[in-house]
Amino acid sequence: MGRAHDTKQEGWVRMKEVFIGKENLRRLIERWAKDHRVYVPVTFDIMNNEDTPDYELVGDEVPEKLHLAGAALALPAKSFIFYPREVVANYPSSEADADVTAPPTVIVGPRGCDVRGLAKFDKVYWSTAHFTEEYDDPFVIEKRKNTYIVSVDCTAAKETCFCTMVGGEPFAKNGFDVNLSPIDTGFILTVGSEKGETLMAGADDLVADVQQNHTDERERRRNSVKEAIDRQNAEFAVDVAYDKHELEGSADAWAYVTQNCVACGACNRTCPTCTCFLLVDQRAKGGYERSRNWDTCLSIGYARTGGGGNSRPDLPQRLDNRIRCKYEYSRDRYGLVTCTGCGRCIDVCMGRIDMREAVKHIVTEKAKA
Amino acid sequence: MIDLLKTETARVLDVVDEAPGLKTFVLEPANAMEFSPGQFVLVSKLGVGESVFAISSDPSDTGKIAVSVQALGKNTNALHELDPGESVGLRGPYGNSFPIDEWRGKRVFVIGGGIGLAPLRPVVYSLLARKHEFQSLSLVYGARLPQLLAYKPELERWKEEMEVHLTVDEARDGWDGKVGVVPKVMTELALSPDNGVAVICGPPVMIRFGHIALRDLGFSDEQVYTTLEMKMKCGVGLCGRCNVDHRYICKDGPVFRMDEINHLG
Repeated sequence: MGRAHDTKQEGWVRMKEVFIGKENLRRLIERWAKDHRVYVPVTFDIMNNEDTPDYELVGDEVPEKLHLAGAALALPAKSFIFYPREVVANYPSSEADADVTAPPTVIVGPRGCDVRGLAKFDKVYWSTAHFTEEYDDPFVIEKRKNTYIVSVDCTAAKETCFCTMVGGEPFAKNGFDVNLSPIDTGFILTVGSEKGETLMAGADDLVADVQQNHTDERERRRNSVKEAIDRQNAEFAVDVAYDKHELEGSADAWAYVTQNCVACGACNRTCPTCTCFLLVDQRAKGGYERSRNWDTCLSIGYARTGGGGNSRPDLPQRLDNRIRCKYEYSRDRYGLVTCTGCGRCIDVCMGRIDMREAVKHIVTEKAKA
Repeated sequence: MIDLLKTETARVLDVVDEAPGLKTFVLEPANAMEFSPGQFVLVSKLGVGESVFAISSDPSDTGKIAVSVQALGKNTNALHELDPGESVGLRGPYGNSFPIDEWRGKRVFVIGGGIGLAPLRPVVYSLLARKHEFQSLSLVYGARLPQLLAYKPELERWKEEMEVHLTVDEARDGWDGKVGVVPKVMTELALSPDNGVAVICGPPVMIRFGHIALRDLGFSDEQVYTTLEMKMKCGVGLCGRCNVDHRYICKDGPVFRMDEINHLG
């Protein structure tokens, strides 16, 4: 690697930065694809929406329409380390242990909100590394270890983006292996971990030194996206700091927030920090298998017990639980506010429920009471 | 660690008909399972599903695990079809337990309603095993009907070793004991809060009014313990559904002292 431009700021690990041109980045991705599965963001024409970005697995060639711009993709990065459905046990046969192995995989394209979301998975599923709970989940840990996160700075905000309201920024400060900051002529490539260093081993021929005008341009771009997000969220501002919320609102206030909810669970599925699951047992070859499936706390069956008992029988109680889980319960249990402000739950809500409006409504009604 | 989500098999040693719709399964785990009173296990009819049950057997008998199962859903109805000799899936034990050591020297009142005696039965076994360490031991237990009183042979045996008060909501079948709901009987008995500890479990409404009765008798919330039930899938603090606020019943409970949860109403 070329002579690195070192940055050291508060809370950052010491990171190496280099410049890489657009064509050389394609070559770098090609090299990664030789011994990794590599997913890259590509634009598709989906339902007549041209330029809809989604991840694509790199095959023989790096796709033409690489999409290293804009805001977060619809698919949260969690999908790569916590599958929607996964067999976690075969029983009673001990010979058919569930497969925990994960192939080395590079994910190009997660944003700051995605990367911050992965911290929740580490807290819940990877105790030995994070000293939180006592459970080490081999499925999540193996994928986490073998997945390389190549994050990308947001270059624009969706109208639902609000990361700056919840302590985030439209780029990853840490928690990535490699980060790409788009600038006019290419990218500033930041190496954020030892895993990132292994990705960059032998890539000296593709990179160059970072120049002052590169970093100046990055700062300008980052600030302009931050300002855009601040501006579009001014109307949702409340007097309570994002990590100090106590959203125990009245039943009326929560009923108001919930009025358009149909309990479809789309918000849970697109949320970068929803970790909850359902276990399903069924017959399988040679015995039985247990699968772990993404679940939604908005469904009435989620907390229903045998005999019909239910701690949250009403939908407003369940949406209350979901939103407070993000702002309060995760904070109190894991020391982490787990709304990352990615806006996906707003994007996918057919009832147009807006997390920002919900929080503002509860806070405002509480203040009146 | 992978075994946390994996099920070991256990053999059904005995099936006891406790009451209509309620059976106790005595299981022999493939590997001896040590547990403390209050802990729970997940039991599955293989390939059908898993349900969470309080362990209701004697903790000193590590070769056996008993669970009392009401036939209420898919898995529990399937379990009710099982005969001795057949296999079930079993994992655990999980959760915290009753702090019996802290109750030494005290009057201990065990208060149960219906199937709610299941998690308290290991408590009674443990208390009786070291009876001399406590000032006194009492059981107040009630059910809707005489036939719904569980663990009848044990109740008879315990009468010789501790104070046992049985009650039913509705006297039938020649019942000549107390009649009235458990909280009412607690009040009539004037359970003394002086150096007392109460452990209460039963249907939610019984816990609520039992707790009120205890308060009226002068018990502080620090003197009252209960065990909560919630739907669980994983049992180890991952799947999310058993949360109450930021706490998980499966990991932070199921046993709570009332002052830890009284704001829940």
